[in-house]
Amino acid sequence: MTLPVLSVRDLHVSFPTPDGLVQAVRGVSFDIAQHELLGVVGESGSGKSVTFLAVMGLLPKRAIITGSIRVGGQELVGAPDDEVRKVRGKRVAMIFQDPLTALNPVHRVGAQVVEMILAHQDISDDAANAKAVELLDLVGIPQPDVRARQYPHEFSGGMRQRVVIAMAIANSPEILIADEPTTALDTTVQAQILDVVQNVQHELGAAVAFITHDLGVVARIADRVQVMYAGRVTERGEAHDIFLRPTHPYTRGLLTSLPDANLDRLIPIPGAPPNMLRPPSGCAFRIRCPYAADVCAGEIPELKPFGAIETACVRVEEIAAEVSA
Amino acid sequence: MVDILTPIPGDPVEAPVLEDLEDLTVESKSPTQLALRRYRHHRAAMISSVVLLIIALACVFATFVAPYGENEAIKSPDGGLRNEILVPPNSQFWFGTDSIGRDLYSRVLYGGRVSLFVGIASAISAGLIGTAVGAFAGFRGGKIDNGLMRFTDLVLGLPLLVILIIMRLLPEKQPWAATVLGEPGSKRLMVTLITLVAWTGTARIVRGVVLSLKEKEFVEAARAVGASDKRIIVRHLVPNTIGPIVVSLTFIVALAIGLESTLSYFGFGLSPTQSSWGNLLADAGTNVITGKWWLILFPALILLITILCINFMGDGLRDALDPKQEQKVI
Amino acid sequence: MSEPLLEVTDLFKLFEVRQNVGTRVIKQTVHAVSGVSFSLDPGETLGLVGESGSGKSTVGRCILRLLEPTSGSIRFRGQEITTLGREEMRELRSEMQIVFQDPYASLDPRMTIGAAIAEPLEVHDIPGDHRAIVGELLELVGLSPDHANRFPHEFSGGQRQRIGVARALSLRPSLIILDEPVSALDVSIQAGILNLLEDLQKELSLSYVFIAHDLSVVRHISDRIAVMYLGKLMEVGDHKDVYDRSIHPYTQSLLSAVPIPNPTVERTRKRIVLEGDLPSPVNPPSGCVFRTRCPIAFDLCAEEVPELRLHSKAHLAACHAPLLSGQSLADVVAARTPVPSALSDQ
Repeated sequence: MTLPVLSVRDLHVSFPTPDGLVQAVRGVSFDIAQHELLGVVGESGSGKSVTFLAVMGLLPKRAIITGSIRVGGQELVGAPDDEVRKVRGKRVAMIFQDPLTALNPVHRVGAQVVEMILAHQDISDDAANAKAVELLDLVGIPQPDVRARQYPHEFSGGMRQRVVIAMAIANSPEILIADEPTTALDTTVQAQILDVVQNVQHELGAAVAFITHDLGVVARIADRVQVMYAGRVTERGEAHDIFLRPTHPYTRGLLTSLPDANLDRLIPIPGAPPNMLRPPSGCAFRIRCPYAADVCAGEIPELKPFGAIETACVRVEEIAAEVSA
Repeated sequence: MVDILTPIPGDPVEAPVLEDLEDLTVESKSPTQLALRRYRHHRAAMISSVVLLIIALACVFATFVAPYGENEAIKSPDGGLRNEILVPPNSQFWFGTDSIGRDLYSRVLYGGRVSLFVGIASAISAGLIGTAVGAFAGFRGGKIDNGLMRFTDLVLGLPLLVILIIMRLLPEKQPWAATVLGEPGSKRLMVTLITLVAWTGTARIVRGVVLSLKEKEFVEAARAVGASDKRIIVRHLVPNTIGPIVVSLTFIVALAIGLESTLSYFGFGLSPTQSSWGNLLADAGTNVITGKWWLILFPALILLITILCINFMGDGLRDALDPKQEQKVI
Repeated sequence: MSEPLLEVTDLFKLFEVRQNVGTRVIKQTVHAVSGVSFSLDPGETLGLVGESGSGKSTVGRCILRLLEPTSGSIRFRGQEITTLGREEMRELRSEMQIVFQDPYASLDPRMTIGAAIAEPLEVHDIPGDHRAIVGELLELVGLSPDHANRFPHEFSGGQRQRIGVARALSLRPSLIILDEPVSALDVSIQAGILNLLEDLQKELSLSYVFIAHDLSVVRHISDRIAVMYLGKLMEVGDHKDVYDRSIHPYTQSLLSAVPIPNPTVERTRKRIVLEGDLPSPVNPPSGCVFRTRCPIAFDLCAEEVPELRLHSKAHLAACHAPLLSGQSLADVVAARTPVPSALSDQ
């Protein structure tokens, strides 16, 4: 078992708002190892984005963060700002959903990559320029030397996202976080970008956290899958296991609600994701869960191993028995 | 045609409608109420509102609050014709007296009436004109929008004080201008002049809001239903622009008060018989150099505080009405 | 044979845009929709699928004349509607309505949802107790009549979409254009809205034009599917034909690009990864608009625009070299190029 590059333990993130305290992340723990791609799946309010914004140190000052975030052993929670800044961009990099806003429209694309390189590496300008062109080539931009001198508006959405990826990997980060990087892209372009991400991961050997709501994308590229709901992890395991033998009612619900041509009628999950100002007691999913019982309103369920999968459901054995019966 | 009033047979999976109610707040709050609540959380704006309210009330009720009259020259207690001139602030005259022996504190209060009136009146009329121009340009778009905006740019491009001074001189020379715009030195002329230059900001803002609203799907939905332009403007566009308009008006009040004071100081504003804050500053004139500091300090201070408070309130309003604040945290 | 509810023939929509290029201003034409024809039968759902720039949303809006078509014919119940005056069109609007994509922008934030749903009734002076009608409509879409006095911000995305549907139904239309109605919703909520739409269609004999980019959603709800690319129709047919037996290289490429939520299947199937980006609708390629990315394009494709031709029962495609029904594009490409280039195999 390789040493985890990213190690998060009991992470809690809350935001004070005029309406009260929003509990975005309520006790999340996980590891990601080198060469591993963790697909993080969740809907609105799941806390999936906030978790990784915390890892990057990009949350607003008013956010209340407790727990532990270790990058290669270095603790980030409570660390002074300049230490976090050194880690961010060098050891951990993030790519976001909207490539338009990630790129500065008045600077050439090549220059922006160079800026990332020079922020963390002490090399000559020429060396940085050469590296930038290499990176643009790695992410599949044709004629990288020519295009490096162009401005973001001269690139299409998919191409811009490639540039963003190039900037993210400029300093060979150990951890790459991708927050819905293909959601805003056309289907055919998304396919290209997923290839780029996998390519890049292969080249770098990085640990990748790929956040998405699209189960198809997860099925395609994830080694392990982590399902999040209402600020907690509800299920985690190898991709094949999660899809073929899901144990948690939420994961089951997600998979059966997908449009499938064989079903005459879709099976939605009733209700809606909860308001994180007042999450339900105990298991937050119990309000929408067809298997909910009184025990579910008690303690918040912890992730426990069940076969090859970890599940946060106190009734998992009974449900498994019921389903196979 | 199937009777639309018959509900669909209950699907057990669809049944838990009541679960949805858990998401809803117990008390229904309209967007206006939400904005007010956000405003209350803006500390600077709240403090400014209170301070401004005190100042405004004191000025409006100057007749009751002021210890002396607006133009009352106070005689010395020992009789005789000498007035209590140029007395520094003491327990009797909180802000001191001026060169004629008038109590500055009372003058400031009465002057506030004038300045605040000019500010609010200018804001209302500039706001009306600006809204009309901006809404028309934004809604119609195309050449009308282009033409109106170029005109707005033209007005904006004129050097403000120079124009005001020139226009101020016009009614003096030309009687027709005096009838139309107002007598030289009158509040009406002041308000008219300020309106003529201040409407542009509101026009720009309103046009911008209308342009962005026009593209919103709820406006398209109204069109899809066959709603007339008039209905769309009245029912959909206006309620959604009131917020930015109010913010804009707030800043015009501050601008107008500042402009009036500047113009009056240079003698191009209100007639010296009116004790506007600008005129008070003008009265102070060269007395500062001879050490009569209180004549400048108090009018200037009250001007500063008032304008600052109005600006903070404007900031607070703008933040409170910012649609981004309405989005969920996560 | 009943007459079609909606017949669109040779629909064109061009936009003039002004671009600042350096110091000059250039007028350019966006070819949003270039000659689209299709029909819709009563009670049918036509899925209109495409990526950005395909023109699918524009088609939807042209049908309702929210955008004025540049040319072409749109017949509703046999009546030509592109030439109708404002008043006549207004009356017709009660027959055709639209549900929008963005649940957060499609409702006026300052109107209660009851007022929003009742607005169509007011505009058309519908007699009767509006409050009662609104209440029934809310129940119809799975909400409670008590919600009528609340404001949009108090509802979740899924609930807002239901409100949008209620509003679209208030005038009892026979045709509803659904413009990406579930794209902005969470996955677990989408299913509920899709079920609602299907139920309503059965109960109220509605016809739908369902516009979306999500192919699996479109497949589930549509009877027939039309695939658009850069303003033109690529393929039209029964949903099974278009999905399982597509004969157009674009459709197959599109289907190939959609990841399937099943790791075993997804990682072993042969995929086609199209190179390059979608061309700009300002300067569409000559001949077949798809040829710049098509793995099997040849010279004729640049010279001649392929007509939308019937290939088998109700299955049409616009292609000079359409595939055979059941033939896999991935296989064709693999057979041609021994060295995989535009093809990704896993």
